[in-house]
Amino acid sequence: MQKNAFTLSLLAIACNAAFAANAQSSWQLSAAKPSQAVHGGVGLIQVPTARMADEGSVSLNYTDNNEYRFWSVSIQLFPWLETSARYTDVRTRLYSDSPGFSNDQTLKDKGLDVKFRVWQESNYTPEVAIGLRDFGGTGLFESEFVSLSKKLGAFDFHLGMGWGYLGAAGNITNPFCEVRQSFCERPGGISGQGGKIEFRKFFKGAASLFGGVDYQTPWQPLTLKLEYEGNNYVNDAAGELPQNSRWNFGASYRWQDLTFDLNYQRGNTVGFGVHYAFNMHSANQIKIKPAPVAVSADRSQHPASINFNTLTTNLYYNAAFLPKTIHVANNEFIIHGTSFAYRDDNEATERVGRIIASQLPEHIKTIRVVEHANNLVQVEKVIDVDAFVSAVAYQELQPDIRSTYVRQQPDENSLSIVEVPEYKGFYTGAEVFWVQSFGNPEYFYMYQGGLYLGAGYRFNSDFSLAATGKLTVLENFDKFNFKVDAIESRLPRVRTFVREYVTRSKFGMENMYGHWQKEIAPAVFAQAYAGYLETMFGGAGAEVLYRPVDSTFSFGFDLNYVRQRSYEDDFSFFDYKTLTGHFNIYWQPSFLPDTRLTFNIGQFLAKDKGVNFDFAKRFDSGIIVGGYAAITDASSADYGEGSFTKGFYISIPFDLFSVKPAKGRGRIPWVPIGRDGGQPLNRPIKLIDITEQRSPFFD
Amino acid sequence: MSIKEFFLLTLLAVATTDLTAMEQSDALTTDAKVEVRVNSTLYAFEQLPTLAEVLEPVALKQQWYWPASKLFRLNTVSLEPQRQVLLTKLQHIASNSTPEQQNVLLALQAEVSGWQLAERVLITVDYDLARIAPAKNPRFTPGTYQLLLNERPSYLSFVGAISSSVRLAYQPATSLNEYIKNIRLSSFADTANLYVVKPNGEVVKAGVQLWQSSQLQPEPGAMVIIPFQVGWLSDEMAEINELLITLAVNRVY
Repeated sequence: MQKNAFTLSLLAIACNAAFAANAQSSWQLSAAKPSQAVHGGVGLIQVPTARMADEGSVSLNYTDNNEYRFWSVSIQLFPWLETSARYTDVRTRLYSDSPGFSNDQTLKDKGLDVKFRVWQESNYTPEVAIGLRDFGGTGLFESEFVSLSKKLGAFDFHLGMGWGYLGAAGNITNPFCEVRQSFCERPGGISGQGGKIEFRKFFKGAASLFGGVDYQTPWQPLTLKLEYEGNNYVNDAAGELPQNSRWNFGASYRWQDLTFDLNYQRGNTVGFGVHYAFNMHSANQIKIKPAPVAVSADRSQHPASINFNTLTTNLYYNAAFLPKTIHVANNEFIIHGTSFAYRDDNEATERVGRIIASQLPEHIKTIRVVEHANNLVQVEKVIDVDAFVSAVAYQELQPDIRSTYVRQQPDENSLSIVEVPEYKGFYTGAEVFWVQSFGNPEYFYMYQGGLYLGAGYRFNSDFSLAATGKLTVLENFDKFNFKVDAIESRLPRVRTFVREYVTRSKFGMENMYGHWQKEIAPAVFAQAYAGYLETMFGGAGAEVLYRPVDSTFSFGFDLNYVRQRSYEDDFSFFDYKTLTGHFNIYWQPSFLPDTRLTFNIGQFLAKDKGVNFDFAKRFDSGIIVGGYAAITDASSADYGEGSFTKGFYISIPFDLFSVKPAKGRGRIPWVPIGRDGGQPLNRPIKLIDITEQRSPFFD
Repeated sequence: MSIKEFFLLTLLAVATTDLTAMEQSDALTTDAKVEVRVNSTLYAFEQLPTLAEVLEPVALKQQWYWPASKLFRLNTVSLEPQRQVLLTKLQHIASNSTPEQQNVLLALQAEVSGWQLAERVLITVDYDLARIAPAKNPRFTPGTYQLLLNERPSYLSFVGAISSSVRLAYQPATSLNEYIKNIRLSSFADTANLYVVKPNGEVVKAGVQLWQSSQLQPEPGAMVIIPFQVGWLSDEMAEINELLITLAVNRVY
């Protein structure tokens, strides 16, 4: 079950607007892009090629060829790595034989593919890629392949060798079989409880050569395809399919961001497909913003006194900066406040700087902007006023605004000589949530949407009480045929009661806790919390995090003692208690651009010990694609289906759907199977999130 | 009249117009903060001028083609050391290579030693933009500058792994592949990794091999660098290519 709040706010509708803005940035005729194959991922019709899409490219695909329907998403994470996720609908088979369990739903299967580019094309050598299709363990189309592509003018020739589904016809001897006997036969069955990478099967059993050609017609939108495939469809998931020919042919027609396919497969089946593509690097949104305040180069004309009325109004409306306090002393201007809309920190800082500098008397040489967020002092930007004014008033040929200020750990002086008023009092908030789950027995798509209604009382910057109620407005979770799954669980059921929790009532108490936070030493943040912490657990915990300003590395730990909440009412508990906590490492390695790796090492909710590894890649538009896996000492037999916890997510800035600058993001998760092992406590607040401004990764 | 001759004549014509336009040429006042040589005429400014102020006296005298206008700083970084490194390297490789390669390398050496080099200031020089957008009208900082204004260039130039540098007539809507067909490439030219130095100073990579699908249409006045093939074991050629690009961007022409 996936669970997370993301604002539905016109997401679907705005999708078009945001991504259609993918305008051509050049008048040069762009090269024809490689097109998607039936299963998702760049390829011909059934077979993959070595070609890769542009970095950051996302393709949403729907294809149909009689027995099968495929929904897939293909993402080009790096120039050398293509990843695809797919749901297959097998029209000829039912989900299960029991209508009471799965109604009359047809069989659905999910699959993951990866393809690595190992050699780039050059004058004499082809592009070479190695890929795995449906490698999750229970895949219907499990195969490995090596593919070569060489382009000659309008023709792109492809040759590959496949094992598994792609090589089922066995039109060639498996070369590895010549070397080693064990490669001649492909082992059957699956290891553990499925969901594992089946290394023991790789490159074993029947192998086939496959290939084909893409032809770019003189009419640019149209590409023609011809392929020879290496599958004989004898052992297909949909049953044995008649194959009159191994040659398939098709055509792709491109219209704006859409591609339409029509093909003729196996000599007897017509197939079609629709693909929608956008690029996560270039996706953007037209913005309506106030013009930046003009700064005159000559500050000697400025009046000696500052008009604070204009200043604060401008800060709020032009720079989206809410000032908390301002202090002018000697030759420094110190301002504390919160930046609430501009996602781009450079732009936010420039706007604040312009507004202040446009009024600043000549003798003031430094502006210190101390930024607060989440009731914590985050970062101080020290602006060299003369250099800044010179840059923003274009007093030099190649002005560089970013070099006129530094971001640093807030200076003792900027904090001590200014009295910053404490935030205190009641607060409320509302957030839309959308919980969804794909591939359920009852219905393929199950969803629940509504509002998280939050309220709290803040005593001072450090201490607050908070509570959140969950109000369900829209759902089909009432269609569940069962609550607690019948699969025997050897681990404590810390997460698999989920259906009980989410269907108990239309309105429930999500959390209610006391919270304390503080920067206990420079760059060391601490928090402690106690109460009902999340839907399924309550208790107490604490966290410490060391996070220097603009560092690519930070670390800390958290420790919690929690007890499982009852799904029968809002306030009581079950007997299950546990100690859970992790040592947390966050690292943005220099060898992987715009990537953050997170390691959480410790004990999880089901008392299993291990590590949760999270990989997140950020694209220029701000969209983040990530995946995680928890490897713990719970064996795959203990864990159950899927063998270990894994999931994927896409985090999208709201800014991409808004014509006004906005902060905040929505996260769309995809968890193939959620079980009890490797499950962390969903802490109500994480220090890494609330100290984001110190070394921004998300924004 | 060949294209080359035609271009030379145009240049001469431009130069003459400018010389007549400004008599004070080369008569420098010592306290001038900014000196800008616009084509061949020197202008001195006691107050720091903006771009529009520098352009004002000459902007409307001719049909300048702003996308091909270039600004250089004369009093700062010298590119002479880099040129010397390149010349030495070319000499070094030429001394132990085949006669064909030798010809190409020495021709390039002669070509590069004739270049006038200065630090290119990569900004948009456009009188119309400068007058309407403050961001396109920056102020000069003290120093000596060279500003080159041209009418719309009618050529593309090709430099690098060819027997001698050439200029080809610019043809609208024509891709690089078409131009390359008319060039006598040497056998060690790397046509899969061409570099196009656009008139605005930007460098774009392009390839014209059959396997390369992109079509690049160079702008009038662009300089196409044809790099040398980089060997598997030595990166000397890669260094030469890199130096050549740097110098091409900063070439006053």
